[in-house]
Amino acid sequence: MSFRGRLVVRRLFLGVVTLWLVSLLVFAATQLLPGDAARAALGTSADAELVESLRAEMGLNDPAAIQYMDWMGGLIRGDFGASLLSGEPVGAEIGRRLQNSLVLMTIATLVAMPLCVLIGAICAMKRDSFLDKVVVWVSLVINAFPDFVVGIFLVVLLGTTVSTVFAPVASFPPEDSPLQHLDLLVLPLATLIIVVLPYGIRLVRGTLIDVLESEYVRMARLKGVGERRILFKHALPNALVPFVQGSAILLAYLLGGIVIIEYLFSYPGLGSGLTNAIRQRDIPVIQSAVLVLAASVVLFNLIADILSLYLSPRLRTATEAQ
Amino acid sequence: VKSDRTGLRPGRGQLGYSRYRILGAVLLTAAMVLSACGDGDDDGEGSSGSTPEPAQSESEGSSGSTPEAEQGESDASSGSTPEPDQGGGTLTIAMGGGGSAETIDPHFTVFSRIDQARSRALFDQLVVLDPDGKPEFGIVESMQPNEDATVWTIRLREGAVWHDGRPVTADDLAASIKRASDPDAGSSRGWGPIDREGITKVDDLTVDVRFNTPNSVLIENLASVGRAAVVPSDFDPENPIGSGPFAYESFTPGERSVFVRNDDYWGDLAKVETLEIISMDDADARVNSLLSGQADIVEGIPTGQVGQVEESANLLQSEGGLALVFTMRTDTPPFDDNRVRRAIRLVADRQQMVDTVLAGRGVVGNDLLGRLEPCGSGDVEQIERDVEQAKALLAEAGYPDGLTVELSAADLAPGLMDAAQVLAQQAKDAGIEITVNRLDNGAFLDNWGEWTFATDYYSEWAAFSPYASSAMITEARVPITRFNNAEFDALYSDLLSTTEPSERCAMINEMQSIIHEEGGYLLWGFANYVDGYSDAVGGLESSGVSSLGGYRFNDVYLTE
Repeated sequence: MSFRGRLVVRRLFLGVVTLWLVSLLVFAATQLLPGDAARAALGTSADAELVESLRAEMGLNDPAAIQYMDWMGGLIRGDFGASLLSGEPVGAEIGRRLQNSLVLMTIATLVAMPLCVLIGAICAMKRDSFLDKVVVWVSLVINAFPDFVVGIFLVVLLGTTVSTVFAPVASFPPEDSPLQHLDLLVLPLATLIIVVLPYGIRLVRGTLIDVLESEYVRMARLKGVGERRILFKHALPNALVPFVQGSAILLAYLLGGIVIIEYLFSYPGLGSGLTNAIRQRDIPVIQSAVLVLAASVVLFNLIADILSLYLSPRLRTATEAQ
Repeated sequence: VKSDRTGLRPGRGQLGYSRYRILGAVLLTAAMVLSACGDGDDDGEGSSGSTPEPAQSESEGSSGSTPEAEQGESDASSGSTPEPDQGGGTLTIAMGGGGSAETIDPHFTVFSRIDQARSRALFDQLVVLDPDGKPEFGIVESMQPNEDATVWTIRLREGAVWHDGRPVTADDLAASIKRASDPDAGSSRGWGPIDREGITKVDDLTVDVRFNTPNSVLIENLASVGRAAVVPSDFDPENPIGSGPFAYESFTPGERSVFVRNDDYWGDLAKVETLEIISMDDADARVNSLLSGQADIVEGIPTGQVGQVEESANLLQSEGGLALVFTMRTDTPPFDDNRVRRAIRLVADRQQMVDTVLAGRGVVGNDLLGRLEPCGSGDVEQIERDVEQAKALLAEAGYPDGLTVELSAADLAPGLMDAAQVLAQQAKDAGIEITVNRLDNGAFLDNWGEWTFATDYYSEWAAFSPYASSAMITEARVPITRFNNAEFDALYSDLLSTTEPSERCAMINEMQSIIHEEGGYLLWGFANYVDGYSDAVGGLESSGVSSLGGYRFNDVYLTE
């Protein structure tokens, strides 16, 4: 096996180990949560006997280790288990919600990434100009607000109080695809994009400034190469590796963002599914949803690493030399 | 691309090209993932043409996502104004949800408000509470007990049919009762001491139900605790057929349900074509959906948003639907001494609590559950704040220098935690030091029913007797206050075999006065349900027993 192949396999193995540790951690956390699914479902409408019978039915009286092993065993067979509350298979539910979340994330990424590169590059080229200062300052301010504050601000501005241009609630029938309801996606998407832009812009700006100050760019300038040519031919390609790495972090950040933003907009995605499951102590759903989110983060990083391997001359020649 | 004259690194141009190609491939893959998610059957332009855009017209009756809307049949968004009494359109209602625990099965264990609302739309009930809290027959014509209330004769009204056209028969009724009283479904409680093998058909519309012990409180229990829905004998929750004003079309727990008008309904026909109930947990999101026109009616407006809703929509206040209480365990010191319980009850300024905690949107309580009890509360007087008497009682009970107690509080209903803080303040005047143990709902529920002194709430069941059986008799299902009073128990037991109305009222009033004298409840107020509805909604009346006007959605119509 080539060096690259071995590297990928090793990273995959480490990824699986990470996920296993995550699943252990999440399970431990669910055990620490006060209350359980039976009580959460029944509230105060039930007597102790009824709660006990529901607990037994849900398998909550089994020792924690057995519950975990049951779930893990199922997972290895590709079975995510069944929701404690609805009894429906978790896999189908998570799958549908994951698709919805992916739509949100993909559109947000497709819009945000080019914007990050564009604005970041302009700022780097015109470093310390008035424009650059404004962008840096504004991005710091946005960064200082939690995601949901940005969302609420947009809702008030565009959805309810000030104007009602866009729908403030992104709930649609479960059999539909979110792409059939693009009008509902505007505000959640705008929120996601706004919260991730500051990070992306500063990433691109920072890496580009580093590259633009490097010796070979100075050399090119001394040789009279035009600024535009320097940017596209010399600077951007070399800034690509840190940007790809940064994008993985950016995507992971987006993934975290959808948990809050989906809840805020009642969007039927993985994030709001997770929020509901936590409130209802639906452990199989919590476990599976967190695992899917964690797996996505691992996957993003893996892809970024592999891409970097191909993109970076130094790493590529190092591997070829082996 | 011009030729590379810099010549700094041969082959770099080629390299750069491949870098962009990789990036391009990534973007392309992303685009493919995206289009795969969309099932490829629709795109943005197509969808905006075929569905109404809810965000842009405030008063549309439709959230624009049901198949009916696309067919355009009596679509409220088409601009034509339907006659209110003929009506049409899609009525969209957003309620606080029960997540994946939501169920369409009306006899199932777990039953939240949104489940009840759906049940009332799809199914007929034997008996329901009217907006004044009086029991009202639904699909039955009469419910008649024998002398000692051990046999009830229940007769269906004529002409009721299931959504698939078959008539509703005594066999269906018998099967429903058997199903609803199944202890394995965790819910025999509405039916009390029923003999499940003793349900017999008398004729095509009539059923006799036998009870192991007298059960004169059947009607009150069914109207309050529920399990009163009638379903076909071959009922299948996957494709629920009922006889209610709306028929089933789709349901996804924790998300939404779509029902359509039942044109063969025996009662008042629904005025809207389609009823869509959306499960929306976040109260802010519900308010937002009302303000933007995505929903016509929303449940549960948070106090902070009442002004906003009043400004651009309408409030529906249902008076006193939620009893807010402090519970004291009568078997645990210091509350095992009635003088201490009374002192705490006397030190509370109920009006101040309603004014501050509920912002005035509520009714002052008198430590008695069942605000709308048809028998009233006899000669029980309203308890008023009396700090001096509270101090005297405490001194008598052996606490002349005051008393320190812990109060466990959680926000199971909005305002409970605030009420605990207010009570702690008020109690200081009588030298009672209340330390509020603020708990997360989960942690509170973990030990629920065991706390010595705690916050709690009860839904309004109108009558007093269901509370007596579920919480106050020694053998109560959920004896939170551990009230143990032989006289009270004897009265309740007598009540069960008494069918003469005036005798029953005398008994109930006597039980109320015992509770008012010695009980473990400090019921300081009844919170109003505060819901919101858009200007397009008509026919929505408030109810004293539930949110959203008692879920009588067949009366609601849309204008504009």
